Amino acid sequence: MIPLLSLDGVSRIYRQRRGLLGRGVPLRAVDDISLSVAPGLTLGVVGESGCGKSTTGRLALGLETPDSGRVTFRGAVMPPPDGAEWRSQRRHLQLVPQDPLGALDRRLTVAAQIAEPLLIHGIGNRGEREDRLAALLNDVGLRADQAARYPHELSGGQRQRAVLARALATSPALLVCDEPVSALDVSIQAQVINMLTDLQAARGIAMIFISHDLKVVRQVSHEVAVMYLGRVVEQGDPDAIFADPLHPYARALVSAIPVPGPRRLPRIVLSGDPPNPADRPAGCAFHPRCSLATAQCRVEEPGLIARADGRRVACHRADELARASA
Amino acid sequence: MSGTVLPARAGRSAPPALVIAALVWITMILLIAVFADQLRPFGITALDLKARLLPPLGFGGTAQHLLGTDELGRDVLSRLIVSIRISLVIAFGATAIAAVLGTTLGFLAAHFRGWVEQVVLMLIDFQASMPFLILALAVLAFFGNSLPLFVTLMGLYGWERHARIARGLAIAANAQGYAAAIRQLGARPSRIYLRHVLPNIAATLIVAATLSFPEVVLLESGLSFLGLGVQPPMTSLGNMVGYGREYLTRAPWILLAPSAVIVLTTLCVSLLGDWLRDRLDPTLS
Amino acid sequence: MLRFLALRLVRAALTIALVVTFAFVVLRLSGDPAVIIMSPEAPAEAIAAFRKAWGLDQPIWIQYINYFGAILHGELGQSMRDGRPAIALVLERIPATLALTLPAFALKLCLGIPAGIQAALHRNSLTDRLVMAGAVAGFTVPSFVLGLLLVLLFAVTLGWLPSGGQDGWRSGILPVITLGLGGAGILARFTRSAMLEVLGQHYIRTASAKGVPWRAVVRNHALPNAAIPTVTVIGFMVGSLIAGAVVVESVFSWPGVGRLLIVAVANRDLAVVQCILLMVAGTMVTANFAVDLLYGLLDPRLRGAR
Repeated sequence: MIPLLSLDGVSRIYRQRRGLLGRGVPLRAVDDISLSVAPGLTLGVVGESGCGKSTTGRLALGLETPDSGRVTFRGAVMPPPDGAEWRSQRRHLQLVPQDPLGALDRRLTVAAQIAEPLLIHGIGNRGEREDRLAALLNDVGLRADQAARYPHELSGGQRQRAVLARALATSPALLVCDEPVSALDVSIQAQVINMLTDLQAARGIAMIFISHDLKVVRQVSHEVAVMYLGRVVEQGDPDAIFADPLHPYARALVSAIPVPGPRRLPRIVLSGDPPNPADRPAGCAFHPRCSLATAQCRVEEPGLIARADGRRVACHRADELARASA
Repeated sequence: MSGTVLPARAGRSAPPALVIAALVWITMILLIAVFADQLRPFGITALDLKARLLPPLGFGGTAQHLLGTDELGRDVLSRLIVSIRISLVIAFGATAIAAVLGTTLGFLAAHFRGWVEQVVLMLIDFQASMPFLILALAVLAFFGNSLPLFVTLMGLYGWERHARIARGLAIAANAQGYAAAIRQLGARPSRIYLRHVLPNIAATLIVAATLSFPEVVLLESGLSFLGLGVQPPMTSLGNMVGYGREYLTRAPWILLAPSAVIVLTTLCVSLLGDWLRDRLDPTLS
Repeated sequence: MLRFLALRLVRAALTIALVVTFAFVVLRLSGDPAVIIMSPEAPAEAIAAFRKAWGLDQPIWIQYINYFGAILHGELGQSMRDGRPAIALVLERIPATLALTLPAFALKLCLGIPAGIQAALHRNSLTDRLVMAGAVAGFTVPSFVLGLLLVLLFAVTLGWLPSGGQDGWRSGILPVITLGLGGAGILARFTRSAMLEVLGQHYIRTASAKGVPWRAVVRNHALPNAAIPTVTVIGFMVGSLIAGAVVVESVFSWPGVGRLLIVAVANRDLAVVQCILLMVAGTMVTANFAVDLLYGLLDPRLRGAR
């Protein structure tokens, strides 16, 4: 199947300035990753904060240009940001941000902001836009009187619905959801997630779902990539990964999911310092926190290697671990 | 950064008495400026040679010339009314020019970053580190004086304050939040800045304008006092003070009336500006 | 710290370069210098010869570089009124101006800073209110109004002091007071808000909670920290020692640099105006640079990075 969007060996390096004239320290936010999204399906991206998952989302949207590698949408390389071509492409690629209040203009009504993409891209005449607005409100479950209010007058869940309606206004082919529910109450999280998956199924939208919450990712994703310090360490079918994670980091994450009843995996608590992307350890980036690290892990960086079950794992000891858990 | 975070409906506690008094004075001055032609009893160049250097009513003067007359028998009240209009028009025009210029440059710096921003920042530094009066005098020396040039020149005063604010808030809005979201929707920069960023920072910019307005009044009156601003036969508040200075010993009223208006107006606008700033945006200095 | 200083030096040089550019642009925009200096009735050959002699026939950017070079060599042209070098005219006026601005500067400091500190330490007291009222007045009463009011009171009505001119130390009293009062108000207001800001910080509360006597808290913790922003304003005032008296010198007919500037502007004596402009820019930039140095001494955080 031809992917809708693909990232091929993409890296993004920020220069951290030390002092005003200081030499920049390169910070590899995203380091040589390859991912793809098929039409109508969802790719989940998990990892702790600072692992580069948000940067991956911004690269996928074309909001940033990779320093190496390439991002292609429908087979064509992304145009450079802020050109006319880039602007008109925005209607196909939309973002659902983490903080809906920050993403909304507090001086305009929610309805005006949901309809704004239609104005920007010159879609429909006045009457058609009004019909479209009503349909969008209905889709996300907002009443017209709620939409006539200003952002701060709505609840967190309502704001998230409004932001979602705005992202859906131009009927995009791909939606990047960056921690879309992490700011919401757990009870509301489920509602928004269900609405998101329903709309996705009904409209055949592809999605990149970025989250640190593994349960949510498992619920929505058709494929999952686990990231650590700008790299993908394990990637594959969500059920396989969550049932039997191979990479020690993925194991630690999965073991931290609260489950009712006795645990199948022992709880693994990560030791050592949280990762700093500006000071990347040599060899396998995870080795300082890995209880299974060997001399090889400290010097040689493991590649992302495909396994028999279709999963890909970047760990020198993956074979041993697979045998042990089988 | 919190400058954009304005309460949509600020609490309705009444302003202090001093601010109300300031508002009353400002309103009065504005009405006088608008209806100057209807209010003035005489023309500003109308001579009454029989009534020269007449003191104001209550100091030996007559009801015909409430604030007295000058050396040529011109009515001080009439000249004062017209001076108020001219000084206010210049100050409003100049403040508006500075606000538009500064905001535009600030937005350009925030949008393009890189060398455009460096150039704008350098100009801001330059403007802030040179006494404006000296620059203005230099321009007037080289170009001579005309009213449009004078207003334009005054319009260069205080732009850096608007530029700093507009740049800072636009960068904050671009980095996270609504402006970034609108860009991501595919909007052109004109839409982002004019329809979204500008309304969000307008309150802060208006406060800044309120703070620089009295400074422009002082600058204009200072230059006019030195004889380098508004030229006769036109008259402005500073111009009247400069003229009245010649008659300080014989007819101090010529000078005192416009001086009082200058002081009261700058005082009232400053009070209002300080109050607005405390209410709307305590981060602004 | 060295990098910080180097950066400030570059900025100072850039500001001077901008002023020179400003003068050049304004000068060229205002008309053909050959015609202005030679007078329009001069014969065409004479004007052409003048252009050649002064390099005015060359492309504008070469003129710009020549102009820059001339200024770097201190060639600031001759006054068009009496043909003397502009720089000499300006220099001989500087003592008179400093005779006003230095005492006024001392007055500002002695009046403004203690008043601001007292107001901040006794917030909302009568002292505070009086200081703030005085500060607002210092800002809203233009110096020419204040000066003329003082003349009206002390010279015209009471006859105690001369109304103008430079005739003995008594004639300096009114201009110095006029200059000093306005500046003192601004300084008091600034010192007060800097102090209030510092007094609200955690370390002040921590120090007084530890039982450090309040006087010691103020002396050891509050004052040094409040000094940092106040130094900026003082720096600006040092920078305006030459330029700050333009209006007041005119009010009191004081023969200083400001008076010279006004006369030069009225007569369009461009060389003199340009010379004063550059001199003021030089003072301002030097003062700003000194402030930056002081900053480095007062605020250890600035020594390292920026």
